[in-house]
Amino acid sequence: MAGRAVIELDKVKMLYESKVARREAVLALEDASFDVREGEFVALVGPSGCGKSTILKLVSGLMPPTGGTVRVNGHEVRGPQPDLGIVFQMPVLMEWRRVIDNILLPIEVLEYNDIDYKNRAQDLVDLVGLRGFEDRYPFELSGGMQQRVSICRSLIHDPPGLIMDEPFSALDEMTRDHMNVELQRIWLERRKTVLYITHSISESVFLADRVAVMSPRPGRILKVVDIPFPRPRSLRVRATQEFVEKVENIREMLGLNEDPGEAEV
Amino acid sequence: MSNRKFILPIIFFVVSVLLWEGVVRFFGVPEFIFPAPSKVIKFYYELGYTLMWDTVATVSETLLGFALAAVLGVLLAIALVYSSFLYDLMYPPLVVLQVTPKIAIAPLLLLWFGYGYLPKIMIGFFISFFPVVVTTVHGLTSVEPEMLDLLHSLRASKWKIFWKARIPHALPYMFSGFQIAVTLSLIGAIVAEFVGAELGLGFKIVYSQYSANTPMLFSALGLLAVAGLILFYLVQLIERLVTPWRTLKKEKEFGATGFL
Repeated sequence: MAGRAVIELDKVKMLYESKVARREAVLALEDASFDVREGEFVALVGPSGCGKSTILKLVSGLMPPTGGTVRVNGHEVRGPQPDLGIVFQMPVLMEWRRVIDNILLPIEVLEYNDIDYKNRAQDLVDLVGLRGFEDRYPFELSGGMQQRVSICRSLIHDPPGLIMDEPFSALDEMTRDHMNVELQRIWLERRKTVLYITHSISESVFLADRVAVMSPRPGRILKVVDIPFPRPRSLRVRATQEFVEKVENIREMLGLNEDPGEAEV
Repeated sequence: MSNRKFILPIIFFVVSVLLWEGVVRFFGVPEFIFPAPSKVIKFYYELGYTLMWDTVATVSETLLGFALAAVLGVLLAIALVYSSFLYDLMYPPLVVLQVTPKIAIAPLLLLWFGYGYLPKIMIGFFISFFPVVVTTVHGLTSVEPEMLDLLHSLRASKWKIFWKARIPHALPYMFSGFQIAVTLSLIGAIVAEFVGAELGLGFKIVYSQYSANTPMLFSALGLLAVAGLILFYLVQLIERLVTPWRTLKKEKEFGATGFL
């Protein structure tokens, strides 16, 4: 466990004040603390509504926490900041821009012109296996390919880290498995710091170095689980005893293993 | 695209005209009630030139009314989206304007501005303004929230978000508004001509009704249909040039099913 922290949450609390009168405020996060160190892949897993997506808004500075501190790259986050590339659940591409221009969007917005970003974009296209599709429009690509474009876009300005918010959850299972293997390959090549938000326990255990397990609302970090499996991991790792144990372990923590008789509907 | 899409409507048109001619001749329908197509064609051939300036007048009124609605409609939509003050101020009067049939104010406008072009352009403008505002507001405000989050995280200025995201996103919405607006503007011009004019196809239609010159009425109708078609496809052509990605997408999605 070496390396400096790229993303740090320290006792973060998030209370959403209701804008509608007489509606109760919602406590989304309570005392959430964890960190992601340089070059590390951390997955954040929890049931829906546990405040996972709140964390995306907090670390990218889109809103301030009601308590505690968020630090990215050593600095306290006080406003919108581009130090984390973002990959959303949906590809969120501009339908009027060709693939290459979608990838270059952050460069245009940030007005970077110190290096040749066209070449960088081309390298990223090659990295994610989209060579030949540079001049296509998003609608010409499948969902999985669009998400690859979105990954390139998140990497183009070489941010210190990435935050991915359930990036493959809208894809079918076979594509999702394939994209998981691809993401691991890309990550092994680039060694970017990644915070990966998911509600799939199996996905989190397959991808991550460490899995932070979140409780239902208000979201707290129940435990951070180390995943020591050697890389590159093949999808077959999911059938091993150790893998199944890790997954079961996390399910137990989340209270998902009730007996059928007492299951709530 | 197959030739079928081109040939079928032509066959349909020719067969309808022949049927019309046959029915009129067979039953001996009087010309002032329902002239045969041959009579209408004869009118075009001999006296068609008398409708030329009327066509020019009506089309110019329509285009000017539409152009005003397009420009001012888009500008107002932008202002409404960016200023909640303006939105609160302008929205109720806009709704009142929209629910009032604009055609009903044509007599008033003629009373104020006379029988010239101005009231026709104004009616065309009023009637086609609202769809442009509504579609553009919708387009400007329907950028995905995640796209805005991404741009905000990159510290994009309001100006950049406007030019790089909102405007291109709104273009297809705007054009669907323009498509409606140009057709409405033509209706506005015609109705204003009905109320009072010295030139224009609407004026000629009323005039031929009074003089029971039904072939002329049909000729004017034919010219109106052609003018409407040309205007509609002109807007569509501009849309294709301005939003090429939409054209490609539509061709891919609907190419085989008959849309477009």
